[in-house]
Amino acid sequence: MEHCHSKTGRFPGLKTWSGTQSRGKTPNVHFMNQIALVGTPNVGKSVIFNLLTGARATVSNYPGTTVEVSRGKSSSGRTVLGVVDTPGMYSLMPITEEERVTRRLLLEERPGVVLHVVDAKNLERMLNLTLQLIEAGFPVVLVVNMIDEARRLGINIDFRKLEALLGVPVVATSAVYRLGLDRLREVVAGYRLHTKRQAESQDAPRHLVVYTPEIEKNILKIEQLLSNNYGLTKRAVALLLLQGDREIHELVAKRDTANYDRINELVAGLQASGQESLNFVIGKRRQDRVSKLCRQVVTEWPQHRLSWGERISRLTMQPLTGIPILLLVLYFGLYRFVGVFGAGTLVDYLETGYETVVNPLINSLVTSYVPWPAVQSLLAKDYGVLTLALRYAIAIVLPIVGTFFLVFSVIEDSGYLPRLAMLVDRVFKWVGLSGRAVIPMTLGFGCDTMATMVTRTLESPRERVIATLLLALAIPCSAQLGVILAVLSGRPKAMAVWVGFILLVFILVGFLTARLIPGEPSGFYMELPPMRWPRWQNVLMKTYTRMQWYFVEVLPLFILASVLIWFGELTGVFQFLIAVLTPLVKWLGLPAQTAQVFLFGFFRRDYGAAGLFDLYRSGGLTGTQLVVASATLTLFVPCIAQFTMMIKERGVKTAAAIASFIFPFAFLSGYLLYRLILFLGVSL
Amino acid sequence: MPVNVVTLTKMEVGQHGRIFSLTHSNPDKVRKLLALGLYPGLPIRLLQKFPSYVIQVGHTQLAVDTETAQSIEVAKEPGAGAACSRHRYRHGWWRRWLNHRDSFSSE
Ligand SMILES: Nc1nc2c(ncn2[C@@H]2O[C@H](COP(=O)(O)OP(=O)(O)OP(=O)(O)O)[C@@H](O)[C@H]2O)c(=O)[nH]1
Ligand SMILES: [Mg+2]
Repeated sequence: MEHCHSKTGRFPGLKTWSGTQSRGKTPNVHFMNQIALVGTPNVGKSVIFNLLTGARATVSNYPGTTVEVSRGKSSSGRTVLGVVDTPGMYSLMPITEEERVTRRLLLEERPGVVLHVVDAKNLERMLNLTLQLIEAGFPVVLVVNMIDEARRLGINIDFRKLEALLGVPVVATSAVYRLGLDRLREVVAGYRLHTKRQAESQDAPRHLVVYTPEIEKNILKIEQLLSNNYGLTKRAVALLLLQGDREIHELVAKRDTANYDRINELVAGLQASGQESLNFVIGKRRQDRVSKLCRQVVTEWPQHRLSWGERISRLTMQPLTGIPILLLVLYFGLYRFVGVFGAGTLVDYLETGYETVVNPLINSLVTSYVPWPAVQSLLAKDYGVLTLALRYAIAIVLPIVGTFFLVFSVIEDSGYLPRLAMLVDRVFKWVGLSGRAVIPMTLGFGCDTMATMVTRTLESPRERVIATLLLALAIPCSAQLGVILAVLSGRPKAMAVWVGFILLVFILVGFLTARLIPGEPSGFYMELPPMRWPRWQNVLMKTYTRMQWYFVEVLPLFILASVLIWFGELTGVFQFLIAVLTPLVKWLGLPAQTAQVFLFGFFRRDYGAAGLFDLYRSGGLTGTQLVVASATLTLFVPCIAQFTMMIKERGVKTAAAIASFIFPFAFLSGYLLYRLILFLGVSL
Repeated sequence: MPVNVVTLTKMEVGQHGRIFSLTHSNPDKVRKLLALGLYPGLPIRLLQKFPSYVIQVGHTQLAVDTETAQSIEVAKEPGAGAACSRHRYRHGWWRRWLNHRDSFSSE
């Protein structure tokens, strides 16, 4: 421990920092056991979190990857620290739901060290939040990440000086190259020692940002009216009140009820005395301070060469080149790799293996060792857990989902998605969404359940409902997509009809819902991170983690479905449901066996898809039937898992409304499609 | 308002300027833009206008829709646009898509 102390002696800022801490006078029980990673989206918080804890939080190259707090443990020497990774936030005053999550965590848990991670390329845009965090009395360590990229751009930062000016420890890191992490660990460990020793020190408060005299006067007055502890310094609470932070206003109204009216008067009075909004004046003042700081510590040698990433980026964003690029990505990434290779070659190979080797073996073992026919059919035979559920999961769903997630991870890490978002924003506005919705929508092609969770990053509740509906209705998940691509791959006309039909439904339903649900479309703005080479370690890790997640999620449900079907068959319920569905299916011009596929699809989208694949391989369907079945199956049912997620994210009412719209709608549009094909007399 | 101040939508691709002010009827929108780091006084450059507006602020690129672009007022810096078009002309058609050099070594 002596060792740590001498190391941290190098940080001139530590003394001032503990002064700031004691000024907050927040007696805290969990004083030092928690480290929180906060900062703007896409600066590398999750990379650092993974390195500190050995966890596998998702890392991707677009803002808004992390939507939930994740927790882990980091042990250095004898001590174990809790580490928290948070959704990105732009300022201490939250606007979106994820930002609110992060601030609540900071206020309620009062972490012992707050690691503010920033992008070294954009210090001028990042330090504003650092000043807010310091002002609020958090024990801040500034982590200046991505120094590799900053160096390449000719940016040089004087870290010592920055440390001295800010009065908090500053650590330079390049997380993906694992540089600076030992320093970071040391600083965090040293921080703990210093806090304990100097928590009582009596340093006079030093304000990094001094606002206009009028504002300062009111801050003092408000500070005196606040008698409760809000997890922030009184100065920060006063500033947030002046800036009109609704949540803090509510909190103060509740805890300092007696003085709240007086405080509100002060805020209103000050606001009325100036033209600009207080929020703007305060922010601008802070930003001026940041600009001054940056002039003191950042030197830059402009580079006169466009990087390869920048060139590609331009190409993806211009419609003339961007649309062909999008089509190429879809053709090679989705069709060739997932459809033809994953759902074709890989599935064929595994299926053949399973059916010729595994299934006969299981069947013969079960028939010879299990005497009861009922149990025999539970384990093996047509709908057995081992012969059907496991086969669907391993031989059909897993290779498709795996190839999809591999492609998706590469796309995610390259930084293509935000560019796609800006490209399609105008089109998405027609269906009541903004370009931002591209991310949940593309993720939906992997797994709609996951994607429904990610709709959180959308700004308005209206947009979230529309996105949830469209995900449930018109976005096939990777298993469905893979199977459908494979099934239709030999028939280009049929494929075109299916794609066109689903696209039409997507646009039509989105268009109508956007007009039915009241509210404004939300504006679009998005940071475009630099294009980066996907790093294969991260791509493989992500693919593996997602496949694992998927498998763990899917297998029990597949088994459950198998058991339910077995039970249904024993009791006659299964036959009954099939009997109910059969006329519906016939109405669509499909053979009676498809009723079973639809029933499977009810349990899970992918289960139904696998069933369709089975039927297709047995050669029982014509081109028209394949298209109608694929289209209806794509639209029909959000599966049980997705439905559960819809309830969790949107509430029972909305989820039920969506489901009860989809069910008849899917069959009706399937019917219309069938009739249309008959009417036009095309052969597919 | 000074004569050279226009909304982002009125700027030409490749032009430089400084953010003059943010005007939007919804204060939350303004707050969001401030939080993104668009403070008056910062130098910016317009990289693209269609299908969305793309601006460069420091080393950050930001995409915004037309509505948001209309709420960003910029004080144009004279001359930069002309220099850029001369450049393009000299380097042939494909540079048009890349918008070579000037754009990256902005400010
Ligand atoms: N070159 C370089 N890239 C980095 C570095 N740190 C992170 N990245 C990349 O930056 C991107 C974002 O990293 P994340 O860890 O997902 O960022 P985050 O802060 O968790 O982002 P959100 O979850 O969206 O708030 C990824 O593509 C990383 O590979 C770094 O030091 N150097
Ligand atoms: Mg993250």
